[in-house]
Amino acid sequence: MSLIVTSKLGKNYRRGSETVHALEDASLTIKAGELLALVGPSGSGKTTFMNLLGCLDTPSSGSYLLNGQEVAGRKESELVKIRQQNIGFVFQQFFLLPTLTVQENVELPLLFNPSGKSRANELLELVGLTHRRHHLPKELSGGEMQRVAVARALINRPKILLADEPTGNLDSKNSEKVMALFNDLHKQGLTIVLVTHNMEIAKHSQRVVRLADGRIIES
Amino acid sequence: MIKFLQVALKNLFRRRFRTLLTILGIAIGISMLFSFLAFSQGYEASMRGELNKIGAHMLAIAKGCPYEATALIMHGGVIEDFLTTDDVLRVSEMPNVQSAVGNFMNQVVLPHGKSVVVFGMNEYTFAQKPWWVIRGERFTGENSIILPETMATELGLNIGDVYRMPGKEIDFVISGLLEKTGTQDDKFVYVPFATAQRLFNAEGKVTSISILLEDLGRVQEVVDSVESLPDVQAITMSQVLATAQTLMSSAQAMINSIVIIAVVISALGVMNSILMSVFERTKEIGMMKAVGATGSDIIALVWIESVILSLAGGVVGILTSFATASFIETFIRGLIPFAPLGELLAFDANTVAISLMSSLVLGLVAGAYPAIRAAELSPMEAIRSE
Repeated sequence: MSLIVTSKLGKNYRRGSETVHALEDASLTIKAGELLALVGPSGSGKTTFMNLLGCLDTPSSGSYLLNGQEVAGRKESELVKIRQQNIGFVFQQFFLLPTLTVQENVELPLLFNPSGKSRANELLELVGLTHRRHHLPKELSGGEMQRVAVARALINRPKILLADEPTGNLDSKNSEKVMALFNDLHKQGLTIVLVTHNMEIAKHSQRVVRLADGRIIES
Repeated sequence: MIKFLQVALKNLFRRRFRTLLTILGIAIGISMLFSFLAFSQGYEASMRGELNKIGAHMLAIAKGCPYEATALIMHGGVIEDFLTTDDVLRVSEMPNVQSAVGNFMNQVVLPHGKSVVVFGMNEYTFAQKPWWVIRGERFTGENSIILPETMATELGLNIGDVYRMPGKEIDFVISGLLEKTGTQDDKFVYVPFATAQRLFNAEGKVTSISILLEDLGRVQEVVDSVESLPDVQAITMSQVLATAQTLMSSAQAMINSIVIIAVVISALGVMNSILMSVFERTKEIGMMKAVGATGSDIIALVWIESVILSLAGGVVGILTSFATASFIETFIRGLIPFAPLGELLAFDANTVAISLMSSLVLGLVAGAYPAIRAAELSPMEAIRSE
């Protein structure tokens, strides 16, 4: 089953009088359960593509079917709900709230989705941080912080996990732990899209999509 | 599970010092507002209280400017024109007049714009100041004098000493000291009635007549009969109050603008503080939007913070006003032309409620712009911002 179908997706920015084509004619199909890496040098359009896939941004042209639903042209207020129901985000800089404990950070998305049920215990168990639940982020290592961020991304039972350079701020040992976690999640059937310029990381994926100059050159 | 209030509180604790400073800023504004409200209430009440203490329903004076008349009645300014003791007698015989007491006061003008205000006192005029506490004796002879305690201390004089009245160069023996009243009474000197009249070559004259009525419903009748006497003007206490309030209006306007400026400054302080905290958290706000926060969720978070700040400031401000009421009284007494006796600040539940409501509104208004700015951040731009 195709979870994501984009056809001729494009994004233009205006920079002064110039129009920058950050992404052009991106057509890609991602099946449920895939572990996929979006790779390319900086400026290749991979971050733009990921923002569009994550419904953080709206395309200038083309179509994007997420789980059979057209996303292109939706307003931010609709996109919020789509994100909440479908997508979990993991960022390079973790973005944990420094004032909240590990458990509170994991539960943060539920603050904005009161109908959601907390499964923080289960998720903390999954990422191996049950013993750290009452700690503050500043008391954790980078790898631990990223695992908290992964648990947070999963709390609303998303269909897709989008990870933007998830190991970019980690040493090799912690990188491996985080990648091992992604592999586990993949085995459990989660669809995962990694955005990276690190080919070592890309090797973990079953499929690599390459971008250059705003176009998909290999998929 | 975590709640909005907890997230907001924890964030305020993250920047303790800034939070504290902002709360202090609001506290100053709300404290001024609260004191001002308390003052507006207290002033009229104590003004009425003071007028009641005059022990008269009405005063008769020589025709003149009503402002001067009010000044005279409240605090012993000086009118050059006198009434006569015959007038006192005539007024006392008018229908519906219970009693009429003649008052005498005048001033010795000294070089450099200074003056000594002299009051003539007799049993009737002493009776009008029942709250006075006099140490020593009232008068021991026609050349005895009562000085306010503060003045005596300044001059290094005590009971039994000789006081040479400046300008007149006449010696008086101090028979008593008036304990501090906290009013203008502390600035005048008091001699026997006849002595005062003689001192100003005004034998048989008075400066005003205090009139008590039998039936307050028939004030106008008495006003008419008093004003039928040649060159006599009647002033009722409600007129005095109205005139005093007119004179108050410029002081009131000044206090108003100080209060408004203070409140606006504290609102700007809250806005600045919240705006800074929004800018610092751009990425966090972007993350929250990415994980499902709507614009209204973000507005709620920011707004809760600014309301917590301003309500805390309001509470601190009100408590500060209570704690510093006497200092504020002194400050206001220096600002206004007529400071009546008694408490100028009247604190009540209403004043507290209005002040708290104002700090709530202040928080909502000051937080609105930062909240909207935060809500409008695009999640992608916010996460990317450096």
